[in-house]
Amino acid sequence: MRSLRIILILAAVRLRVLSRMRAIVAVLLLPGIVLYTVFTLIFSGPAGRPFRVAVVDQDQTVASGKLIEMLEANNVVVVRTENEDAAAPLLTAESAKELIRKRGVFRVAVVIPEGYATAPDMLSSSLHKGVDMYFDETQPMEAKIVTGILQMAAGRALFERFGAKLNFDQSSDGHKDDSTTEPERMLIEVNQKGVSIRRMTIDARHTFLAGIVPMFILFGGIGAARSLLDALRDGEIRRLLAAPVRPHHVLLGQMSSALVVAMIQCYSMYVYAWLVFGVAIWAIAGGLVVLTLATCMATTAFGMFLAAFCRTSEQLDAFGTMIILAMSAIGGSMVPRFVMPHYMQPFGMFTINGWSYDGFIALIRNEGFTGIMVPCLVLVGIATACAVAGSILLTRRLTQQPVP
Amino acid sequence: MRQGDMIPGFGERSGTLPALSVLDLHKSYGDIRAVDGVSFTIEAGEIFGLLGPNGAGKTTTIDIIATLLTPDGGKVSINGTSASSSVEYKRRIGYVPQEISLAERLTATENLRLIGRLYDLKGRVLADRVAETLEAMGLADRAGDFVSTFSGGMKRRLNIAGALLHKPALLLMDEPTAGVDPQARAYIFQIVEGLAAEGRAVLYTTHYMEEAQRLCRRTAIIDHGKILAIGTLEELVHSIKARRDVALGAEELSDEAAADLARRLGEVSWTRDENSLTLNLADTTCSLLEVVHAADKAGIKVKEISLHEPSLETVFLELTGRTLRD
Repeated sequence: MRSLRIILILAAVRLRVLSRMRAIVAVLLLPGIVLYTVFTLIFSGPAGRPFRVAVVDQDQTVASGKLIEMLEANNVVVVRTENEDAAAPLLTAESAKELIRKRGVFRVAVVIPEGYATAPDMLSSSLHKGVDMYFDETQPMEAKIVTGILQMAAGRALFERFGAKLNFDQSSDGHKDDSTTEPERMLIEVNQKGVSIRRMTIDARHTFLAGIVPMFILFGGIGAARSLLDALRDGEIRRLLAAPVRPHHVLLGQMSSALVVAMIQCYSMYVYAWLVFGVAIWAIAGGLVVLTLATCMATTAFGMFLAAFCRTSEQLDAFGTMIILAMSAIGGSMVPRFVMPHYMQPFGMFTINGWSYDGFIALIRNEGFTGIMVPCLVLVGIATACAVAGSILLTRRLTQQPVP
Repeated sequence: MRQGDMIPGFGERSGTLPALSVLDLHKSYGDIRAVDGVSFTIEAGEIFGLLGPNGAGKTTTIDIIATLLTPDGGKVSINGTSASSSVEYKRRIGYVPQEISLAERLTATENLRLIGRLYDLKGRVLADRVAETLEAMGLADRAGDFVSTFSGGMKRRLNIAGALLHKPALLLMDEPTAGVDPQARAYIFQIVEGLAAEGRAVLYTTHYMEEAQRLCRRTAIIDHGKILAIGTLEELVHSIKARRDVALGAEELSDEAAADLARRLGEVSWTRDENSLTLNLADTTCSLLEVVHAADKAGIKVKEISLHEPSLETVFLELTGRTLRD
């Protein structure tokens, strides 16, 4: 009980000092808002990236094969089987929809219907029926992008068909092919069919809020770590430790004040996102508090660990900045993780940003407390590990070495 | 305030006599022996000086006593309470660090309230102690001002005030006058002397000879982590058989007259430089008047005479072979 009181006393004093440094307060709050705005605006439009798209080819013709080939040529990873194993059952329209609806394995599935080759594009004949597209209604941006890619693929297929047509009659390959009509004037029609999963729409304003928040409070954690190192250098910690105070009290006191500041940082960004970009933070208020608290605990404890680990402010700045930028890049703070190559995405799970990001997206998907349970547990675990390791390092450093 | 005056608010003495016992302390950083077998005791009401150059081991010693560092060996206790019983032990210590360890963006009162609360002072008691201490340090009129607006001397006084709130039996003062002007230094001396007069033991580290000589009843000279000598100034001087020189200027001086004078004073050693004579009176008790009379009898007409008493500087030079460096 005494320990808790000492920790709270130290945290309260730190907050009081901080509240009197107005420039610092501005620096704490503004950069996150600015970067969130910039990233959201930049990435609000389509972006080029490799997409994993489930493709169900019900037509099985040269024309449908050509469309798929062109999709792959346009940076799309085409998946035809349920678990991407060639020996696994082929996807059907229903199984693809289920994989979107229940498991979130895909966000887009393209079904090329039987008879597609009869009129593969709108230029070929009025019989053109186009292709069907199933997509996660919560994330329509990706569907729009894949629709664009389909148009490009159809265009390229058309171009190649024109080139091939000159000798097409001489070299029929035996496939059913009805593409020998007069030159087409229009491209492919995409019949978009949203798969309802009763979730909110996820777009740039959400993904970047999910990403920028942990990145900025990580930097805030480094700021708190720097002030701890400064207090060590200036002798403030020596005076505290000469009183009936232990090193872990100092560390946890500093961490507690940093936690409060981080929460304020987060909520200033949430409110801004709500006011300016219309992010529905109040619809997920309960889960958001829990997730934000867990994230802030992890980031501030990580900062304290770095303070205990690094000898000087210079070391902390160099080391901390490098780690935070790396974690932010891998964890999805700078670019949403689904944009990254498939093999890169699991690495996000080694970062605070990654877990926080996933928790936020789960809330936006209306998965509630169930959806954030694992991310929160992991984040609290990281916080505990960092705080314990930081306390041990700081105690050893303070009692075995001369204070710099 | 005169030496021995009581400081307002610090009149009540604790029930037991405060005394520090340090026995065979050792602390190394790698191959460097920062503290090497340091032992001493301090009695209640005593100002004990730890004198040595920078890097001698003063701060490491004081840090170990304050439990800021873990020693490699040795024991420390205050009134029999060992450093291992940390909370109770720490309550008996008031630590004045070398650095100004105050929050610049807090007021003097807020700084002291923080420190007081760490010692479990609260409510009316805390408020009264803060007010008393600020009054005692001459800072009552600046109680509500931010520390960032204080002069160096005021910060030093507030730094000391933080160590007094809980009325410790032992004060550890690590170069408390570093970087202050002579007036502020004199004020701090008065504070320290007042605290000792109340019966508090004070361990005072410094590398200023005159501070140790003025304040401390006993002084330990420390260098390279070892205590070279401990005692009162007289004991230290006696321990090294320090020179007590008389410098004498005459109208005319010969070796014969100088030898005659030295013989009359009890075969003291002497050196002559033209008409100046230096006599080493270390082993005699004769006064300046006796020297003048003896010179007259030896036919030396004295123009000027001065006595050079040995000081801590002399002792330090003799023990370490060097002067104190800043």
